[in-house]
Amino acid sequence: MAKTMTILWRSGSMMAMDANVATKLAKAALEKGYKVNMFGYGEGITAVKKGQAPKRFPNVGDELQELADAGATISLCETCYAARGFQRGEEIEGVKIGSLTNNLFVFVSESDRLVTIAR
Amino acid sequence: MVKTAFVVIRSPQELDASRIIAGMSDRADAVVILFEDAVYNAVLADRADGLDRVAGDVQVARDDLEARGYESSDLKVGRAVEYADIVDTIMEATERTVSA
Amino acid sequence: MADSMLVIVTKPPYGLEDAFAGLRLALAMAVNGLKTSVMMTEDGVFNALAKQRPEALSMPSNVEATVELYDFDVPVYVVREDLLERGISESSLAEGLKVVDRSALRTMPAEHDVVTTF
Repeated sequence: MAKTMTILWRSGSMMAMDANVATKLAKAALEKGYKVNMFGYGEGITAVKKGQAPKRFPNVGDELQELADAGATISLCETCYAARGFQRGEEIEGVKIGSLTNNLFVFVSESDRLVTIAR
Repeated sequence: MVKTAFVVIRSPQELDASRIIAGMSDRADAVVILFEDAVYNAVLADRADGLDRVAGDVQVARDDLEARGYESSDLKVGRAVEYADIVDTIMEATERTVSA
Repeated sequence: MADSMLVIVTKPPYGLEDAFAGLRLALAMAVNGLKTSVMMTEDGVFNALAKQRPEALSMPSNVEATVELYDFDVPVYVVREDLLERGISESSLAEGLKVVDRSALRTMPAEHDVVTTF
């Protein structure tokens, strides 16, 4: 059974490249055959917004979409999501609006490694 | 003590990574992975010396290094690595991952 | 497979959401039965002060978020040297906190399956 990496990312989509580091790490882990979970917490939830269109910067929404399509399990904190005015349906396909208690707990429980990407 | 991968993304000005690592691990058990502005830790001589004293292995994300105008030959400590190498470090070569 | 987590809090209260977010994450793990510990270090030790008045900023209390952890047997440690460096006396700390030497930072990660930092 493949080992599992969970990435807890807490930085948003644009102010820093942290979320892009998280997506690149996740992509490399998937390509090596590991199971990958990702959980967006705090400002990190902004990275899952559908329809991001940065003109000159990497599109972390597209990167997350590709990861979800490639088999990464992606969830985020609903409290953080609602606090920032996001509503269900605004997230990219395949992302589960979840919670620390239900989703991150499961991710952590099944993890061999937890990687935190935050400032 | 367990073999630990320390993930650093903040610049040397923002975070004294060497101090954090020294407080948590023996040199032989510490691997540090530098992303984003943390790569400056490996090209600034005094910061590189500090990391070399506390971490037995220093890995620098190659894309972040090259984006900032540096290359492997500029490193004062450690080596430039790809994300695939970093995954190996986190999943196989170390037992815990700690973000500094 | 992880059965335990160490949450390291390095950020002070109220200017950033990090410390509160870390304490709530610890609570969420503990209520599910994951063995969870919290370690306050660096500027994170400012979260340990008893006389916080978060109502001055209309903020939730990091002291209350800390004390709530005790109901789920989450030990909350504070690094003695970091208190001393900041001139904080142990008598000014909130109830129930466990003051430990900095050397605990070297041993506690090995006692938990995963570590996260706030």
